[in-house]
Amino acid sequence: MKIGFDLDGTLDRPALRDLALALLAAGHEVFIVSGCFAEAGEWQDEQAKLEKLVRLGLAKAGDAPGQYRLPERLHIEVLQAVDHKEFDRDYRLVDLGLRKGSYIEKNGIELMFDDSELYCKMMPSMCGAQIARVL
Amino acid sequence: MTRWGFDLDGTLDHPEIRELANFLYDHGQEVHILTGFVPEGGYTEQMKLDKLKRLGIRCTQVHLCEGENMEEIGYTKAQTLNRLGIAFMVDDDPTFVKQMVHYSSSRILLIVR
Repeated sequence: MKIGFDLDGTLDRPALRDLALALLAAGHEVFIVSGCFAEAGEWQDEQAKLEKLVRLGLAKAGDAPGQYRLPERLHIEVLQAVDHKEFDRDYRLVDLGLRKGSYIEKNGIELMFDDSELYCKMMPSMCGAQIARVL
Repeated sequence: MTRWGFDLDGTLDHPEIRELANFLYDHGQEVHILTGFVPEGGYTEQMKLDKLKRLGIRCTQVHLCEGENMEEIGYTKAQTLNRLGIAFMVDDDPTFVKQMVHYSSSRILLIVR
């Protein structure tokens, strides 16, 4: 199986994290697809997301600071939102949802978990995966 | 061990969801099927069990959640979730989901397609 998870608000729920770990241990492919807003600063950038994966037990810190080791079948995609100076909030969120859907389709993900109502609304227009919204 | 709940009709019909349910069961999780049931509705308990068998679903227990309408069935599902201590419930019906979000402490996963 190819299973996708949003990170913030989804994979940080213990039972879903445990599900992702069990899927990896059983040889399935796990994709983490997360949006990122550059203006939010360091707490939300790709580095912060990798550190979060270490805290969740899904990745390990590497030998040097800023290096991380991911399990073989774990893929992470951090999608940068388009420039906030040029586009308004609604456009940026819709765009991220569509790009998440596009990534899901491109990688053949069969089931995607996400907690965002808007993303869950947008993703199906770009992919054929089953979408499960975490309420 | 985590307890998971799955709706039957409209949810476990999807092969990806079935595969997830069986995966969880095979990896030591409790998998409960919570399915709406209208007494005298024509869709009998045996028909539901036959469907589960036909779909190849492995589970801990099947729970018929009785009600005369969607809201009542959703409420029964919520009560069942609370009674069993289910952490995650997967369902595709917005009315059931609304009731379960309101009346249960489980985390609900809504299948949006």
